[in-house]
Amino acid sequence: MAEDNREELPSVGDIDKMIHEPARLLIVAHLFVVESADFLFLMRQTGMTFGNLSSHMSRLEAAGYIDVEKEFVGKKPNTKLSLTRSGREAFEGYRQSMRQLFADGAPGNPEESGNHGQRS
Amino acid sequence: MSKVSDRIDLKEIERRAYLSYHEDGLIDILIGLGLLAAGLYFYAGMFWLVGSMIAIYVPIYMSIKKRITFPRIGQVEFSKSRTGRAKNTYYFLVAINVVGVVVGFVFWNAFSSEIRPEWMYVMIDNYAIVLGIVGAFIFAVVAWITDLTRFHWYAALTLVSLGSANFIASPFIGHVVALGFIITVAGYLQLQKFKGKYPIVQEN
Repeated sequence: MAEDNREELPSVGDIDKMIHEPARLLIVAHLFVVESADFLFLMRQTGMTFGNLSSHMSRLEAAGYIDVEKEFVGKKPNTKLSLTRSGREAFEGYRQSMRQLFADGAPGNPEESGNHGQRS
Repeated sequence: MSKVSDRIDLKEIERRAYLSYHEDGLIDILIGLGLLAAGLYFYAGMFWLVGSMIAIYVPIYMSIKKRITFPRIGQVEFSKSRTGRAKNTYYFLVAINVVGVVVGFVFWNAFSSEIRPEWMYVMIDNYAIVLGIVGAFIFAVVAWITDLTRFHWYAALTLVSLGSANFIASPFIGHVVALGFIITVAGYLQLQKFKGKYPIVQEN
């Protein structure tokens, strides 16, 4: 089956690099499973520093993948983040691409394929 | 294929985010204090106050959550499926209340009739075990719906604590108060752990 679809498989170069970067992948994955989250919540969940999260957030916002809403909760400023429609679609596309990239059926880890030390 | 999905497990990410939101132990403290208050109300004969507690508990819970949890862990709006599960918990508790009222009504009618059925005497003789099973069932279902595994422990504790009143010569209210005390302390310890894990962040 993998042989038949080989021409449809995406090339590695087609992978969305905006999402592929590990820190941004983590941010997008967290935003994908919730409706919205504030900056602090993402910081806690991803374990990123303020500056790191802030810079990746700006890049994702510039790419149109996340929506950043600044508001006041009581007297304190609060930054609310959510995935945009295109961000959600991009993440779905990324997941699809990654699945297809590794869907070649070839044995990878010798332990998984049962070749425990039987290499010739 | 599994290499990618194993590392970014979306269900696990969502579950961990949800659980961290309830790591603060506030719900445990409120349940424990509720049981303590229920015991005291029953002791004082003010049964009507038990029902009214629920009305004041929700605003109190939200107010404390805003003061303690949000500044430490931030705010999140969960997906509709997760929100749906929270609603299911609420509906379950409302259903339990309705069933409780209906059962109470049936029980009272049976008690008031001249010929009392045999099962009633069995229930009266073993009321502590019956209440222990009901309490444990409620905790277990809430644990199952919400994914809060520590509630399974509370279910077991409730069964033992309330059910043991059937065999130990001590007042049932004392067992309710003891159960409330233990859950309150467990919640307080959980809260201290939460505060240590998530100190308040000034910058945002």
